[in-house]
Amino acid sequence: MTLKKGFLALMMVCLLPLTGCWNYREMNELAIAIAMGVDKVQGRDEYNISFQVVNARDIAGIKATGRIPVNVYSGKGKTLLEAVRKTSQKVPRRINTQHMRVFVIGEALARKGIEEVFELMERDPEPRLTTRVFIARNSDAATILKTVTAVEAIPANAILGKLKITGRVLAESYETEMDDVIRGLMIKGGGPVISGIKLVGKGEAGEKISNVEQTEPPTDLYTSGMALFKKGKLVGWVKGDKARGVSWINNKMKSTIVNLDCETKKDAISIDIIRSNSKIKSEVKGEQPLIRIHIKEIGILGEALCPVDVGKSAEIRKLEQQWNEETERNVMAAVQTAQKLKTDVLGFGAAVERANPKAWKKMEKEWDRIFATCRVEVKVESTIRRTGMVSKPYLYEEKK
Amino acid sequence: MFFKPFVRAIKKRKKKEIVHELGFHEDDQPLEQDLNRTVERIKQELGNSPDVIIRTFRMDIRPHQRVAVIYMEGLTDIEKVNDFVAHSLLFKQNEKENENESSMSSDPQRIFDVILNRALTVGDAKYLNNWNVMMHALLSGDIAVFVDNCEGCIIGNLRGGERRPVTEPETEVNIRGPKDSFNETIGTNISLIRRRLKSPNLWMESMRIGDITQTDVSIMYLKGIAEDRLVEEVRRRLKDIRIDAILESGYVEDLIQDQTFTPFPLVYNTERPDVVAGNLLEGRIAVLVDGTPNTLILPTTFSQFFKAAEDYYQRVEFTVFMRLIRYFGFFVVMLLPSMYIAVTTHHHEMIPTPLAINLLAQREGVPFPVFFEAFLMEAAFELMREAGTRMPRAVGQAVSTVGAIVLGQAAVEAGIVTAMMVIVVSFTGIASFTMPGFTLTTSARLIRFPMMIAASTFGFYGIFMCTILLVAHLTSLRSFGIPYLSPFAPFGFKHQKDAVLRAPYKTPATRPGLTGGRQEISNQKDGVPSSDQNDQTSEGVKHDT
Repeated sequence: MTLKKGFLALMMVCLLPLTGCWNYREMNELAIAIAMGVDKVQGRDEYNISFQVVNARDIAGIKATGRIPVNVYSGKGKTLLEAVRKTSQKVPRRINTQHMRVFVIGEALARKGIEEVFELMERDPEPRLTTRVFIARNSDAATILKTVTAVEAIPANAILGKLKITGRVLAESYETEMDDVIRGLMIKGGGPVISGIKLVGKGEAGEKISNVEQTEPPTDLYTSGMALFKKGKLVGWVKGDKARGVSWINNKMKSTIVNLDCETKKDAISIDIIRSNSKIKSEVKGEQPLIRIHIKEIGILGEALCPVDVGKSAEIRKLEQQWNEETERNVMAAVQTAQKLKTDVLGFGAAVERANPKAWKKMEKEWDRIFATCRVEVKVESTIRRTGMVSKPYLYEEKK
Repeated sequence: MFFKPFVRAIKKRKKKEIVHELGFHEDDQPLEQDLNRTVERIKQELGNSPDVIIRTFRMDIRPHQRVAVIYMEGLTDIEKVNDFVAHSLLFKQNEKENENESSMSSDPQRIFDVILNRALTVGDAKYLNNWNVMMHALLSGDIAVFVDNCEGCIIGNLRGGERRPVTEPETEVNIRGPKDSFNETIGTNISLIRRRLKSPNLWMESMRIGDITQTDVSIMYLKGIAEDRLVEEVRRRLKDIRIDAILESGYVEDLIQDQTFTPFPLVYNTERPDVVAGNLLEGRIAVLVDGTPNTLILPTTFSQFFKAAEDYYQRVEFTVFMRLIRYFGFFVVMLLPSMYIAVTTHHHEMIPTPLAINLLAQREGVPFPVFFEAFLMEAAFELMREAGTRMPRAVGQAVSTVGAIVLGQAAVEAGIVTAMMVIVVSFTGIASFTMPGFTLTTSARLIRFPMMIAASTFGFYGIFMCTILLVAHLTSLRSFGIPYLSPFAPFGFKHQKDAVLRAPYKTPATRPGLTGGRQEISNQKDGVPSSDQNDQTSEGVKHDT
């Protein structure tokens, strides 16, 4: 009996060191880094890391002072980890990246290659792989992090909000998580697609709280297009219709507005997409694969600036046909851009592999060349479900 | 393991205590014949206490023989004593209607028969000839009648004196249902139960426990529903008790429970007769102790502490909802402070970011670690609660006001604790009042502190380890041989009808399996009238009008 109890006690004691990393840390010993930025140090083979650290005391609770909501601290180093540790000279607390929501990469670094950047992010237990990644368009990541934003006190939340809403209602950029980027980096002959964030206005002014003390901040951050990568290097930007095409092909289309022509006026009818689903299939015939993109989308007639008789189904069918063509045009524009850049950001390689693994084995090494010339067919099935709250719009009645 | 020396010491003490100097002697001594000697001896044994009232007089029918009536002041009903003396003892010679009586009166012993026949004002009068039994009766509030030169005495039950009336329950309050509760008199308490269960199968046994106090302890059960072995076990454990005093049922509880050192109560107690009646119907046994309104119910399971009397009177949906709330409350009391500590010291990533920033803002400038902060506030809350229980009623307002203001607002404003901690502690405090079986709340309150220590050292890992230990301990507990966690572990599907859930009465009911002999309760045929019958009666009424 005593032996049994002793054994049990021993087992319990053995459980104690199994906790793994023991990290007792009080909340007020932490500097919560809500966003992180990585840049290339000019002329040297070093990284510059910036952290956007939240000043909790100034923005939350009853004692909020309303002073600057975040501070940005930077550090340089040969490796990212070294750079992170170098920031300790400047930050009074331990930097905690568990709540990191935004990860910004400077365009200069993106053009040189981002493969190395994510090694630490994947290895370290603290950062989340669900952190959203941005490319700082035409600027440094540090500059982006330093900009104070309106409405959302914390700039990281502001740019994240802008990206989320853009992705949901416009589809000209979509959310890419660290996890997606790492998977994108492993695509043969392709790379990830990462949304861009652009500084608008004068950079310096954005660093002061006075920036948001105006109804229209002179300096602000806008989401702007998407960066296409090839083997970890930024090779080009897409925006507008092309960016939308990328969203469609990658099945990230949640909603957008498609403008259609009517008899009297160009781009007079807006279709609001409510649901879209795309599938990529492939057929391999000899050397050349054929890619088939099949898109099914449902939308509503959002706005019509010219008379449309929505009561007639023929009229609706006509609109649907137009919408099909418009979608196809967008998609093909995206495909042509990618083919021109010779980077398979659209997942065609994966489709080929699914369809014919043996053929893929042969094509794998030369995929960027084959991709650039492969034939693409787009088939769109559009359905207009509703026409809004009016059956006899006043514009239509007027014209009669 | 750590308690072993204590346990041993207790066991040793038990053996020594069996024969006690101060206690009553077990031997049967007959009474004295001589009245003067009897009176002298009683006076001497009770140390000439002035509350022993001795009235001597001569009866009309036997002027040569003196009669003494002895009783304890305050324990007997004085009016009834006077009635008894006037009507039974002082009746006139000419009132005699029977010749036999007069002839019998010549025999000195027959005088007791005469008195007994005449003792109309006493409900319970009997002749006895045993010194110890007489003394006990005297001290219980009976009166003793002695006649000179006659052997033995008459004991009349004229118990009375000041008693607390049957009032509304103070600790187990309800909205719907009966509002009577036990008081300190065992007789009243028994009657309150009997009134609810008018069944010949409601059996009762009495015994006296406590060498000095000689406290009346009764066990009640429903013959045929309560398992015989269980009754036998309760009887055995009660008989094994050797102690000087039983002043409250807690003494009995401590002495008959299966395991002494456990934070969990292994015996349920209640001051509500309807709860006792309900439990008797489920096959449990009630142990009533004189001098306390708290009646013990055996065997006890964990789920019992989450059942309020009202659960059976309210609508089923509401009952289930309230029970879920109570279980939730139990876990809140036990785990909320420790989970808060774990999350804020080890697992910052688990807090949603906006909340994390909010908490961080509150933590700024607080000089203590979260654990100490929590400990401080919990200790302060316990102090307030204890003060609230002990303080004289008149100063109650002061304590609660000062407590609320000092603990809540001032502490936060001074930056000593965070507002979130005050919320956590108050929420825990409120949750601790949700359980009907208050004794289990105290367990949760105790367990909370080791949990907090585990949380601050190991985070959630520590909490889980403690929880595993706790569950292992709970499953090992037995109350009179019944697994404490039944019907959850061992799981009984049939018995889930009255565990967390409560099935409507129309569904065939089942007694809590392990306690009952008979499993099925006939609640449809001869118990509660079925709905059809109800409909018929209501229709009948309609026809009449």
